[in-house]
Amino acid sequence: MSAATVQAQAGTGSSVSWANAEGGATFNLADSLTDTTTPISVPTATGTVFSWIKNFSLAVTGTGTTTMSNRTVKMSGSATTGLALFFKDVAQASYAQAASGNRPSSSGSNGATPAGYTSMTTSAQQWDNTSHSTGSTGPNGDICVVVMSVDNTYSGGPGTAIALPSIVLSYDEQ
Amino acid sequence: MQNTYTWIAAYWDERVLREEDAPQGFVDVDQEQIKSVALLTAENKLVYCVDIPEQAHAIFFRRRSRVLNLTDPDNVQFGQTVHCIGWEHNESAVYLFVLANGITLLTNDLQAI
Repeated sequence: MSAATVQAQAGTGSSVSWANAEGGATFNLADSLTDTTTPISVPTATGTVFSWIKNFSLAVTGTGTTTMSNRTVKMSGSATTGLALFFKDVAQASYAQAASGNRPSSSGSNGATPAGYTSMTTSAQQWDNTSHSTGSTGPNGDICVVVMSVDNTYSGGPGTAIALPSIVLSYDEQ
Repeated sequence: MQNTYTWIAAYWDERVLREEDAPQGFVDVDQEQIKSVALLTAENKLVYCVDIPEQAHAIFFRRRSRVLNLTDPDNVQFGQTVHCIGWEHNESAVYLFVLANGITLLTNDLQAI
C-alpha cells in the first residue's frame, strides 16, 4: 500500500484551473488567490458584507493505492472580532467561478451567516464524506467553497494583509 | 513518505496481516476473522492495540491535514498525521487516536481530533 501525495488547491477561471493554495489566500472581490486591489469594504453601520467565494479542494498530486474520505475543515484559531469564515459543500461538477453574481448578499445585521453556508469554527466540520480512490491525480472529492465576512464590529482598520486564522483541510486516508 | 506507525491485524486463527503485505491497504483485512488491530513503530514494536468485538467493523486510517496559511503566506505549514485504530458497530464506536508525538485519545467521536 502506498500513500498519496495531497495538496490543498484553489480553483479559478471559467473552466476551472486548480493551483496550489498552501502558500496562502487573500479574500477579496476577485476570482484570484492573491489580488489585493479589490478590497471588501468594512460596513460603516450595523451590517455584514461578504467576500467573493473561494473554491478549495484536496487534490491528489502523487497517486497512491489508498482511499480518501471524511473531508473536514476548521480554523486554526479564532478570528478577530468582526471577521468570520463560512463554508459549503459543492460537487466538482457544480463548480462555479467566483463572480459578483455568486457573492453572498450583504446583511443588515452583524454576525450574519450567508444562506446555504455553515459557520467555520475551530472544530473540524465535515464537508464531504464520499470515499474516493487516490489512484488518479486531481481534486479528490467535493469542493469546499469558502467566503469571508466583515461586519460593523470590526475595528482593525483597513489594509491588504488583514490576518485571518489558517484554514485546515483534513481527510482520512486508508 | 515514512509513516510513524504501520498497522497489523491479528486473526482468531493466529494469522496476522501486516500493512506492507496488504496491496490494497486496510480493505484487504478479513473483517469476519479479525481479532485485534494494532500499531507498530518503525522498529516493529507493538505500541497500541484495540480488540475488535464480535460483529464490529475494524477501523484504521491516517488523518492528514493541509493548511491554508491566511496570515503569513511565506510560512508554509504542514499538518501532522494522526493515526487511528478502532471499531464501529451500528451506533457504537471506539476510536484510538495516536498523535505523532505519542499522545493518545480514546473516544467514540470520529471528529474528536
